[in-house]
Amino acid sequence: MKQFVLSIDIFFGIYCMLLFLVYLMLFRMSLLSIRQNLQKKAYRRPQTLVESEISPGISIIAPAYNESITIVNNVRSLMTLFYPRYEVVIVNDGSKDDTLQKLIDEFDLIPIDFAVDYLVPCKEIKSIYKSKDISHKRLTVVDKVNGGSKADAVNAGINVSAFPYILNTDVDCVLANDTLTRLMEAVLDAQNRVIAVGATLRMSNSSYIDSGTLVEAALPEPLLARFQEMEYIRSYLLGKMGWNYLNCIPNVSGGLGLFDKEILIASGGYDPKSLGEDMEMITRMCITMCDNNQKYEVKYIPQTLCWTEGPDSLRMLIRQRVRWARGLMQIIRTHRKVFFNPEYKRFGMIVFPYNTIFEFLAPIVEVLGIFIYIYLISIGHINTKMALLLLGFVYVFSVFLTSFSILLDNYVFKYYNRRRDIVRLCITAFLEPFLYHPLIVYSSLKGYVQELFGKKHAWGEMERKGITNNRKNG
Amino acid sequence: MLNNGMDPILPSLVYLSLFLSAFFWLMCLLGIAFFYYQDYRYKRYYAKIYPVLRDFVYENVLIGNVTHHFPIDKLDIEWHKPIVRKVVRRVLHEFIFNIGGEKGKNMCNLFNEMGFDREAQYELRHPAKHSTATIRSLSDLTLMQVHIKDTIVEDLLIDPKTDVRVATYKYLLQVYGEAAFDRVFKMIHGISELDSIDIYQSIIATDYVGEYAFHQWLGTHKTFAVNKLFMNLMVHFQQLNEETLWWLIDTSTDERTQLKAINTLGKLLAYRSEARLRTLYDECEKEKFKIEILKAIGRLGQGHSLHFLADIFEQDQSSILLKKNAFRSLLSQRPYSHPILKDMEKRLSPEDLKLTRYVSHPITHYI
Repeated sequence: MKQFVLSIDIFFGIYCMLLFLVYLMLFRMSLLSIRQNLQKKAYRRPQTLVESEISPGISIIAPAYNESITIVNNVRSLMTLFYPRYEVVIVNDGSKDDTLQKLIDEFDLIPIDFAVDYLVPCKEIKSIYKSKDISHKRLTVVDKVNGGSKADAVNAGINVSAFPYILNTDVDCVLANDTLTRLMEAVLDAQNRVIAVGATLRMSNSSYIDSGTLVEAALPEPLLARFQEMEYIRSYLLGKMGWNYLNCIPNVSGGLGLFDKEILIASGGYDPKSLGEDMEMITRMCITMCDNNQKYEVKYIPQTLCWTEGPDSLRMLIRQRVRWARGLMQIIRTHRKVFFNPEYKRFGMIVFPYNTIFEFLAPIVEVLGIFIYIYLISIGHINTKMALLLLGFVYVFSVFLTSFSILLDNYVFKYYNRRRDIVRLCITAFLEPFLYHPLIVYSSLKGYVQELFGKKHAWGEMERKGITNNRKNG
Repeated sequence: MLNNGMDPILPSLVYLSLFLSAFFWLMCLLGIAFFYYQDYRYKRYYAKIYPVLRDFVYENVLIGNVTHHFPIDKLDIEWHKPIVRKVVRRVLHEFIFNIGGEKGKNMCNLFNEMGFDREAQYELRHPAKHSTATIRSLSDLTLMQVHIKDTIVEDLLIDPKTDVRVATYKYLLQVYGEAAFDRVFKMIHGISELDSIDIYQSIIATDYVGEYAFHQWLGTHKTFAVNKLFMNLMVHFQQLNEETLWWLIDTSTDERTQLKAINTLGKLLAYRSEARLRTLYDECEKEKFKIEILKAIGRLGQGHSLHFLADIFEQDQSSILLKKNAFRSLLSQRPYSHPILKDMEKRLSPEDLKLTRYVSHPITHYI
């Protein structure tokens, strides 16, 4: 019995040590990666791409499903970005409300004859609308049969798009004016082919947004949204920027990502059946590049370019995280041939194993650890002082990592004008391990169980509040 | 964690880790406070300096038309503080780019008289460990059109950091113009596509009009970014050299270079290449090459490939993308293609007719 407990102890010890080492490595690499980016930003004129007639074209694809409340402002916002060559493709994915009618009325749209090459699979495109008004010449609205997923709608947008780069975003996302310039800079400023670029996302829940444009960023008032904001900052600035240094980014968020259309199509487009379609897409793109023996890069930039409305109810948050967990499990199952396969180079030897061991298995190991901990306490096989000491260390370490992410965030740019926002964010770091983290672990396990038993996923509809003006007095 | 058999070194390690985590956490808080203070300080100086400088510029440059010998001593600014110089530099850069033209040039003189040229030259003579200061200095000297010592330029041109080299190329191109072309183009290497666009923009911004042969620098051993720069310059200055472009298409191993060369042939209206492009179309297997060839033929607009384009459009095995581009090229060759278009209309299938309406619809094309 003692031998068994000891071996379990060693297993958890090694797992935790490895995890801490990964975090320490990310700590160093994210700092280097961000410093590199900021140095380049300091002497690059952002106007170069805006002024140039030879800048590559970008197609923005934004699927919309029952977005009637916010659609007009959001589309206007997308059409006012600073970039010389881009189009906006809004895909109405069979909305049940008056989303399409609102677009037709507001932008003076008329249906045109069309012929679409279905380069990537999607449900039938019913019609394509263009505006009679020359000032809305960038806009194309695609009306299609509902495909039951965002992936299907994005695929329709890819089939209709004209330019060699695709910006995949959600129609409810608020983009910074220089989004396209910054992302394209990252694509062009590389020695290898860049197949995808992402940037930091934040919550728009309490920010002041006027006519679809961000006026003032603010920390979300509801605690749940604030936890998510903190999680996003940590995940993007510490995680993704750290991996960016090694060219080992596992995922480009579905909220904002710029993709090389040729590789996207060669990889078969988004998988409508996947519940983690963004990560699955990147996985397949990396596999395609490795299969064809081509060098590639997936990049991230630390600047926040996208503000999105995060779930502010517990039910919606859990549903979202269950979906993510199931998506991760699907990817690991589908692409298991990549696991520690040297043919897939860094992707097979680092990215995929990391995702499997430290992203997918982490909630399981965590819960198992808690059970064993309780069991050891019950049989008196535990050194209470040492256990408490370890617990204290893990807690302080997690608070430190979050605080370090906040520091990186302030190093990149000072997004919050109000000092109390930053103070509150620092305080939230203390609450997160007790209040928010257990929720995420619970959602992940729930997702794994659902996926194991093949339960059908209900997408649900997130209630849009209309982020036209969220400013609170004071 | 177990009750017995525990190594005595373990608790000390945990204590140390706990202490270090708490220490670094405190450091993070201090760091956050520092960044906040830094930002607050910058904003405070900016708010103080901006109106003073704005009034000075309005009074002397915009209204007073002063070109040299600006009354800088009248400016109530604490010049000795680095933060002040940083703010002044940024504000003046903003003004120079926003105002532009002759007044913008006068602003560059003002920038020079404020002593920024001496500062920049000093930075170049004593380069800092990281390249930001060097690049900033080069960009300032470019703006002020100040000549720097040749030995320093030589050193900068062979700097291992690409960003420094690119800033030097831009400096030489903008300050010396055509006289620096040979020197820069001989040395250019290791640049990214973004650098290529940056250098292209630098040359365009000088309003250069001349007959410099950019095609001489194209090469199969050069990277796509370098070749792209020269091909873009050839298009901008309308310098057609079919032999070099065909040599690139035939011998380059880089697909993107070949595609760009085909594109350049079209944009430069290389009418003698039309037949050769048709032959290349038949030889090519990849669709992206075929599409680029169809686009180029459409641009040439000689009317010699009408049947070739019509055949591609009417072939059942052609993909919609190929058909689209073939028809678009036919349309762009009007009036030569009028009879063939009329003739085609009679025998097209409803699907193909729909495609022709889509391609020819006036509001579909804006790109």
